[in-house]
Amino acid sequence: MSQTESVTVNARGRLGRYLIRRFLTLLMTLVVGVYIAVVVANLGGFVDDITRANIGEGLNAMSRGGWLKDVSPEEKVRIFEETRIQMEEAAGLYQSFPLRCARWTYQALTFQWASQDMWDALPYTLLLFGVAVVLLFFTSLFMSLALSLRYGSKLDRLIVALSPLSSAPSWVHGIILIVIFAAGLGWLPYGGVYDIDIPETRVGYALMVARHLVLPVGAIFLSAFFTLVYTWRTFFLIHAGEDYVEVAQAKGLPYRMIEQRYILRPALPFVITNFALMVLAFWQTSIVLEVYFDWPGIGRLYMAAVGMRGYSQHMVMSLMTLFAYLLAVSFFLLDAIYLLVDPRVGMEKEQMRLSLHHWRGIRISLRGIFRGLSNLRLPRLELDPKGWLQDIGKSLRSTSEGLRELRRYPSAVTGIIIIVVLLVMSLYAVISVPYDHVVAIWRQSVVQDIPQKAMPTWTNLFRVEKLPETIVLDSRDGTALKQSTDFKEGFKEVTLSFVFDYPYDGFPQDVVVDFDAKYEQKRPHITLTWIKPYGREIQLGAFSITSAKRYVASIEKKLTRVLASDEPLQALFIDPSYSLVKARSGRYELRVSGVLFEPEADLDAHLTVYGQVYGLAGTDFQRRDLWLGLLWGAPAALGVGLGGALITSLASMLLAATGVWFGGWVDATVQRLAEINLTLPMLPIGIMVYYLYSKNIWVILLVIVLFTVFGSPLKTYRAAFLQVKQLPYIEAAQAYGAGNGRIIRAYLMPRILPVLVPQLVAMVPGFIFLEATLAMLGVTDLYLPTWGKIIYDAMINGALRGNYYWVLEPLALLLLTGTAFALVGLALDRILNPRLRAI
Amino acid sequence: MRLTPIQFLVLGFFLVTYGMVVPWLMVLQIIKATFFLSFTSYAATFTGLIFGVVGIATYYRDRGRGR
Repeated sequence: MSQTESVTVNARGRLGRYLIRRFLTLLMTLVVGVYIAVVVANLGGFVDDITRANIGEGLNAMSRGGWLKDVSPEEKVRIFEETRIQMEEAAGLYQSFPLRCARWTYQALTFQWASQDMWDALPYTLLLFGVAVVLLFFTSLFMSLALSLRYGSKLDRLIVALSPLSSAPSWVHGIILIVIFAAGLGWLPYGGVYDIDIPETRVGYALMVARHLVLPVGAIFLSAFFTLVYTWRTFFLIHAGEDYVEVAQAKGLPYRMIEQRYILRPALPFVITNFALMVLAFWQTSIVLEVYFDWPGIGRLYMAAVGMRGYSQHMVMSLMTLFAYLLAVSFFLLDAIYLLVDPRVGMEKEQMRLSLHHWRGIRISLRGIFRGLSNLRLPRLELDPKGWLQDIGKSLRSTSEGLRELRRYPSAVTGIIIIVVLLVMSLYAVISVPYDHVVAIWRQSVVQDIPQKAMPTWTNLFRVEKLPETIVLDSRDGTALKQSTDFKEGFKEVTLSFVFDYPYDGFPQDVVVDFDAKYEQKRPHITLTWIKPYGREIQLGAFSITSAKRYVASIEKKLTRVLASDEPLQALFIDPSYSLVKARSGRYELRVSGVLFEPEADLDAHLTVYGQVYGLAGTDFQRRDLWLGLLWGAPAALGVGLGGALITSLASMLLAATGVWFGGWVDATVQRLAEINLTLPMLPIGIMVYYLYSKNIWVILLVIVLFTVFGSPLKTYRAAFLQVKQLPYIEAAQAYGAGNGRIIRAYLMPRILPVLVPQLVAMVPGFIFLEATLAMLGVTDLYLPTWGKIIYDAMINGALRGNYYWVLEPLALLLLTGTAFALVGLALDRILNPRLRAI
Repeated sequence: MRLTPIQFLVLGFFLVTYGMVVPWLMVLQIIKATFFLSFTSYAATFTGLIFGVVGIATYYRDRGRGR
């Protein structure tokens, strides 16, 4: 064997060993991840109960089939119980909790609980993913190439401007697409896979599936396209223009070598990691997408199973394991692909441990960030710092210098203006509408004269034929005229006159009169007369009333006879001389004449003519003013977004600093936990916790924040701390005897605070959309209105049948908020990373 | 791995196409849905797109060199 061949064989051997090691590491990670999921699922004994129930049902089935039919009833009970106990023992139900969970983990990992339903559903999800990826392959790849070659063109600027749109999850785009193409234009189906008439030919069947695929695939495509194009094009530009590439060219190195070693290697970690994040997002958000498109994939199956409890718990665990497998496969493939493209990976021990997350790439970025920060006069922490708060103050001051630079970016200024408006809106909401009041209204404890599913009033500005607003008149507050005439023997006549101008062309939703009669024994008798603008009087009815009688025109059967029309509301407002079906504008009157039979008796009434438009934002199906929900949605969204991002960032930073400072097993533990976290399907676990343990959205968000603490921010901070740890002042602090806690708290963490700001800003939209995503799955606070909850209510209560405002308003606010933070995040990235600033 | 940009792109194209066609055939019930086929189609889709990215990245350098 020649020396060259020997080197090649050795290299292959090392690569093989590296891949096997990665495979085993990921397998271990997967096992621990699924074990954690099983522990969470079984904390309330749910998995145990199902196993016990399965055994009981099996024995009952045997009994029904003739088992023990020849023995006495007493003997039968004894044998039955003995067998049950033996079977439960064999199933491991009497083992300790950790061992039981380990057994369930094995059963979950080997798909012993999986049913054919799961394998039938998986291709549907894969089909969505596969078709979306093919589209992305042909569009975003070539588009990013084209933009790299035509940097700064109008198209390039357009894509950059649109890239924040990708901060929204696929279901947001999906709902917009449904509103436009299914509900509005009627070109495509709302969802599902099948038409009413299923084609008999294979081609027809395939075309039917394709037609149903268009909208969900379009949603996935839109949620990934802009951000992928932006990221890929940016990194192609950066890495092709690096100084070291020029140097390599000047040195006369072969082009292929330059390409492999100097361009691809630094660029790929970002590109691949970015793609991996997209895939993770796909698996997380596919649940909502499938539920709302009624797409029979594993996401919809998961929601069906988790909502049913009982036997479906096995299905829940199987699907959770499947999610974990898919994530683990993704990471293994990433490692393998990276290895194929850059064989240096795995050659060094350190790289082997870290390659999963492509540390080198992240370090390169952080180096750039640090370079940028040094231009911003970073705080110089000397040996005698005046305390942690001072350090933080200095760091924040330097960060604020960076923030001042944001003024140079119009997109960032736009983002900041939107955020300020949202903050003002939040403050206004909290001050003007107290929490208890908003909850009372949202729980419908407060009755209001509000129409149902009424559009916002401003929509009348764009209409030729104006829709009516709500008119409210009451005899007790003087808006209606009340006249009283006493007769002999205690008789009394009360006339209530409700006069109102009606300058609209549309018909009202309803006309309702609430009577308030006071009497001892004899009920008042009233006569209702409707007087139209042109003078025609119609007697609507005459009847006796109780103390609190309600007269609702739309459901009064007598009224249809009196008006000789099936549409009594139209008949009340129409002018027969009109050729068009539209309301007659003018002054109307409803006269209530009541005869009261007791001297102390009295009569009052409250007239509500429910309009078709209401307020700034319209109303929902439960007559709630949407403006209130949208207003209070702002503090809820900002609270979740900023709170989640802040807690996650600080906790991640503390963990990363501790791991880096202590090193050894502490760092290794933090690292392994971070890897395990990557294979844990966060959203499905959060949903499961909600359905099994707590209906409190804040608990669920806290659970998800805990998972996120071990996510990608931890990796970024760790990389930054690794560099800070090498700085001389840390060594000096050690030399003068500073303790571990002090070094972490006073010297490591403040130094990294400027890195925190862009990370934090970038995380905010993720948490805002997370709350909305959970709400879309019914995982939400029961009383507090949030934008996600309003969208959820709208989607399941017929907003797509003409009430688009109901779903589009909260969706627009969500998009606006997410985009605002994304715009600021992008600008901060450019400011703090000089390599981005250069392009 | 010494593949040209075009080879990367072609390989990526075939992989993503496989990743799309196999689930489609399973949905149309032309082939039976199995664990193995599902996972290979997912792996193919995933790998195919990354190969495409690598192909484009190297192709860009080819084109960019002439600028």
